[in-house]
Order: sequence, then C-alpha cells, then structure tokens
Amino acid sequence: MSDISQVIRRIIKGDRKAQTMLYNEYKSVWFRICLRYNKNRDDASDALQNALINIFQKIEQFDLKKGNFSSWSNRIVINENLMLIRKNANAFNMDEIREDLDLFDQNETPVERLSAEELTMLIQTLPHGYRTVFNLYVIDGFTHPEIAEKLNISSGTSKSQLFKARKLIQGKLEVLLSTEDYGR
Amino acid sequence: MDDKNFKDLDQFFKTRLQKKETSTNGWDVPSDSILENALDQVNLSKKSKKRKPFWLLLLLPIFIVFGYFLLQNNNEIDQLNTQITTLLTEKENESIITSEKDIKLLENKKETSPISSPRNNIDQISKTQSDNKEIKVVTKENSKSTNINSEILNIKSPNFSSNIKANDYGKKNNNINKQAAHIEQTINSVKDPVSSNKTSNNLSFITPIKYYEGSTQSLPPSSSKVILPLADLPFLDIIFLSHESEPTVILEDPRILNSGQGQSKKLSSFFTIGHLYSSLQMTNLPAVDYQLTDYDKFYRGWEIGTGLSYELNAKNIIGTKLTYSIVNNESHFSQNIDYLKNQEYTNTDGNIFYDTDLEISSPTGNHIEPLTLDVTLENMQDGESLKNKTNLYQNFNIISLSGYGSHELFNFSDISFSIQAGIGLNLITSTSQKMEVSMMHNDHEMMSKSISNTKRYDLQKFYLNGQLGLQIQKPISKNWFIGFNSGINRSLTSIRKTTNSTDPKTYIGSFQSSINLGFRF
Repeated sequence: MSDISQVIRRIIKGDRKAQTMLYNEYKSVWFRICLRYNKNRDDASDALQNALINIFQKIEQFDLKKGNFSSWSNRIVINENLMLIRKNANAFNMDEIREDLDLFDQNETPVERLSAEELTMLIQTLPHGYRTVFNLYVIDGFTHPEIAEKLNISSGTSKSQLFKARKLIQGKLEVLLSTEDYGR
Repeated sequence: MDDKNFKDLDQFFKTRLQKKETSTNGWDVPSDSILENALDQVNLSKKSKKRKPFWLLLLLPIFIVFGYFLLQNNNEIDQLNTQITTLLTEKENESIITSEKDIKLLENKKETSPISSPRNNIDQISKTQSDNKEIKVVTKENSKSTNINSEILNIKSPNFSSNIKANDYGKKNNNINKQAAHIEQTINSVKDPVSSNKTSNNLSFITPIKYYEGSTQSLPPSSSKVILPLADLPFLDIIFLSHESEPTVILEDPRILNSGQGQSKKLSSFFTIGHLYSSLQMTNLPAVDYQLTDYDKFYRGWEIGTGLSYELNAKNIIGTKLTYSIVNNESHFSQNIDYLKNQEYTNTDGNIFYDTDLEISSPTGNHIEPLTLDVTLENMQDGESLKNKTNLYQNFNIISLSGYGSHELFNFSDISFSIQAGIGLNLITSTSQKMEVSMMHNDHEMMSKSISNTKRYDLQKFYLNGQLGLQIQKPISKNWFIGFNSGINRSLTSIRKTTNSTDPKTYIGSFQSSINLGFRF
C-alpha cells in the first residue's frame, strides 16, 4: 500500500477506493483480533464491522505524529470487541469451565506446529471471561489494572480469570500432546 | 497465579498470534460484505451529522431582544391608550384641580384608576398650600418598578415653589408618552416658550421645561386644566395641575439636561474607531503529515466605521453600521520531507539539485510551492529528512455592512450599559500574502526564500458575520454622546470556498474594542 498518510487523507476526503485499500491491507489483522475475542466467526464479523465503522469515523482524529496507524486501529478493534463483550451480560460472573469442550479432534497437529488459526480456535473455546482476559493480558499486553478498568471488574478477578484461562489452555495442550497422533 | 509458571505459554501464544503470516486457507479473511455494510453506515452517519447551522444560534439573542421590546411596546401602548382615554374623560368631568391656589392632588385612584395603576404607580400627591407650595408625589410601595431612587425636584414660580418628591427614578416612559399623540403635541408645542405662549393648548406649559437648563416657563391662565405628562420625566408618570398664575419650573438635574431623555431625538449618527485582535480559525482540518502550528493565534488589526442608530424606545435601539477593517494573520508550519535520492539530478556544471513540492493547507487555501534545492554540498542520503519551516503572513481588508440591535441592561448615573447583537455581510476587498520558506538539513539552512502575493485559490468574496458585545454610552452634551464598545465577532460562513464537506474551513474571529462619538439629531 502507498504511504498511509496519503491513504488516510484520501479517506478523510471520502475516497472510497482508499477506504477499500485500507481495509484490504488490515482486514486480516483486525479479523484475527476479532476471532480471538469471539467464540465464532459470525460474532467476530459483527465486531469487525462495528470496529470498521469506528475506524472510518475516527480516522480524522488519528495523529500520525503520535503513533502508528496499526496500533491505533488495533486498539479500536479491541475496544469494539470489549464493548460487545460488556453487552453480553454476566460474562464475568461465571466460573463455567467448560471441560466438555474438546479443543482438537483426532487429527490435531502437534503443539509446535500449531498455526495461528489453531491457536485462535483454542482461545475461542475458552469461556467468555477467560478468553477476554487471556487475550488482553497475554496477547495484547494490557496490565491487570487496565483490564480491570476496561471490563469493570476488580484487578483480582482479572488475575483469577487469567490463571484459570492459562490452566485450562495448559490442560488442553497436555491432552493434545498425549494424543497418539502427537508428533506425526 | 504466578506469571513465571506460564511465561513460556504466554510467550508462545504471543509470538505465534502476533506474527504476521499469510493464511493459506483464508481463515482470517473476513467477508467483503463487512466493508460494504460498514461504509454504508459511515455514509449514513455522515449525512445525519450535517453541520448544524450554528449561526442561527447567534441570531437568537437578536430575536429575543427584538421580540422582547416589541412585546413590551405593544403592551405599553395599549395600556397608555386606555389610560389616556379614561384619564381625559374623567378629568374633564371631575375638574380635579381647579385653581392655582388649590392645586389638587391626585391621590389613590384605586386600582381602577389609570393614575394609581401599577403602570403609573402614583399613590398620593399632597400639597401644602402656602406661598411656597409643595407638591409631593409618592409612588406606590408595591409598584411594578423595583429600582427606586428618590429625587427632589424644585418647582419654583413667582408665586410659589414646590418640591416634587418622586421615586421610581429611571423609569423611562418616554415611549409611552410619545405614543400619545396629543401629549406629544403638547410637549412639542411647549418646547419653545414663545410658541407655547401662543398656543391655545392649555396642556402645554410644563413638560418640556426639563429640557432647558435653568429656563423658566409660563404657566397657562388660571382655571385652566393642565396635564403634566410626568411620564415624560424619567421619574414620574402623570399629574393633573391647574394654575392661575405663572409658576416657574426649574429642573437642575444634569442627567435630564444632558441625556435628552424624552426628546424626540430618535435618530443618531456615530463614528467609530476600534482596535481588534483577530484570528483565522480553521476547522475540519485534515490529518496532515506536517505540523500546522500557530495558525489560530490572534493578531492585531484596526477598524473604522460609521453608522446610524434609531431609538425604538428608551431601552432599545436598532442601527446599521458600515465598517472598514484590516485583519492580520500569521500561520507557521513545519514539516519533515523524506529525501528521495532518485529525484536528484545534476546540471551541466556538476551541481546536484533536488526538486520537491511544498504543500501547505493554510487558512486561506491550499498552497503548493515547487522548490528546487541545491544539494551539492549536502551529501543527502535516501530517506533522510529535510525540515521545512514556513511562515505565512496575510492581510485582509474587509468592508462590513451590518445591522444590530441594542438593549439597555442598566444605567449608572447618566452612563448606560447595553448589550448588542448584530449580523452583517462582509466583503473581502483585498488581500496580501507573503510566505517565508526555509529548508533545513541537520540544522543547516539549505535554502531560504520569501514569496510575496502567493496565490489564494479559494477565498470567498462575501461571507456572513455575527457580532455580540457590550456598549457603554454617556451623553456629553445635549446632542453629543460617546460610547465604548467591546465584543466578539465571528464569520458565520467560511471565508474559504470548499468543494466538498471534508475540505478545511476558515472563519475569521475577533475580539474588538472601539470608541464611538455620536450625535443625536
């Protein structure tokens, strides 16, 4: 893609081609974020659409001097996902560790060869609250106080959810590693 | 919950998920319909967020002020007509005051009497019959007016002198009085003592006296009935008198003498000279990759003007003024330009040159200035930054024709304090512009040049303007007055032509202060 500042300027002027250009450049990055935060593809698509609207509406506020567009837009995508999560009542009141969820079928790949897609799928199997905190803390680099503020929960709850999320993922990975197909 | 136990796990996920890799099966490719839907909603949202006609809000004070005094005027005129009709009828029949020695006092005409009505708020008029007659006018305690100051006026005549104690000073009923044609006629007829003596109108002896410092005025013959339209005095309403002799009324109050209140001096002209701090303020700025600094600071300018004003009543004035102002503006820019080695070229002398376009989105339009830099000695590398600093100096000459309304808020002594609001059409008659450009490389100035009268691509010729301010005014003689105005002024429409809604818009805003010298006709 040509210089991002030029594209942004064209978008501000209402250039539809520039909007498409920007979308094509970042759609995978944004969609991966949405997939990580949502349980399924449909929810992720809804989140991406809302995020996209926000990005186009707020792009005039973006200051190239203060940051790069990628992290700015990623934040918007994350925030949009969090907003949808907050709409989902009781997301953090549950301790529903859905042990019944199978992460991988009999043809699962070894952990070293797990692709981003498969890791994303693994994260998707986490309960709502676990998944959100895991994404925010481990992947997107937020601290517990920041997570607590964003999700309107206590810092302790955030730590607790993270711990449980990690344990769950670890367990799933151990199951995976012990399968007879491991290392095929 | 120890993070260390999961350090590897965290790192593994973070690395794999943040790694930008191309998917082979398209699992991370969203549907194209997402973009279409999002763009549809964005466009819909933009349409619904059309800029509010904010300038209508600026007009609101004008409408309120005009609406207020129109309403007030109508009510007062209606009341006055009723009062005058009733009053004249009653007094003709009742002969309230019959002789000079027996100055009857109007007292407590009950609520139904126009004299004692809240509008006139005269409760009691008492008189001491003696050589020195004393008239006391006491207003109702619960009168409509709350701004009460007692005043003593001396009324003297060869045969008697009277003190009129009045309150409700500052209650200016000039307008009411002027609406009553017969009373106004009376007033006019008595302005000139000579003509007053000639007139057969027996109501004509006293009202105008207050306009003449130390003057005397003959009273009409005895047994005549006189209506003294005290409403025309700023502190009284209406009183009926009858005199046989010819008392003299002397009013020494300088406020009355100077202010000319009650006179039919409705039209004034004025001359104004002012100082202003103006700024060209840009909105709808694009996300540009250069710094636009100090483009909206305020710079000094000047204004001269002249106008006419018309007193609708004692508190409200409308007017029009024509002004010529000089508005100055500065804008300062800095930007970094990436050096592209492949755009270098060498001339026949072996010097290396570099061409670049300087693009500036200034308050008066977009400027593209092609520059050629001699980089022979710079040893520029590909991707290095060239720093540009540009100062833009602009002058505008503007003629403005505006209408305004003014409403007196209060007065202190003979100084009145008013609020003013107006709207006008401005014409940019000429502009001049100078651009100073310098290019730096590692704090070394490679090039500096001054460009005069750079192009201004998209300035509007006319634009709307709104004003809001305060005015202080003081009479300095019977006809002359001085005033001080201060206020804010802002263009209501952009001075830049914009081709679409995303173009930057520029508005001239200013803080003004001016002094006025005026003459009442």
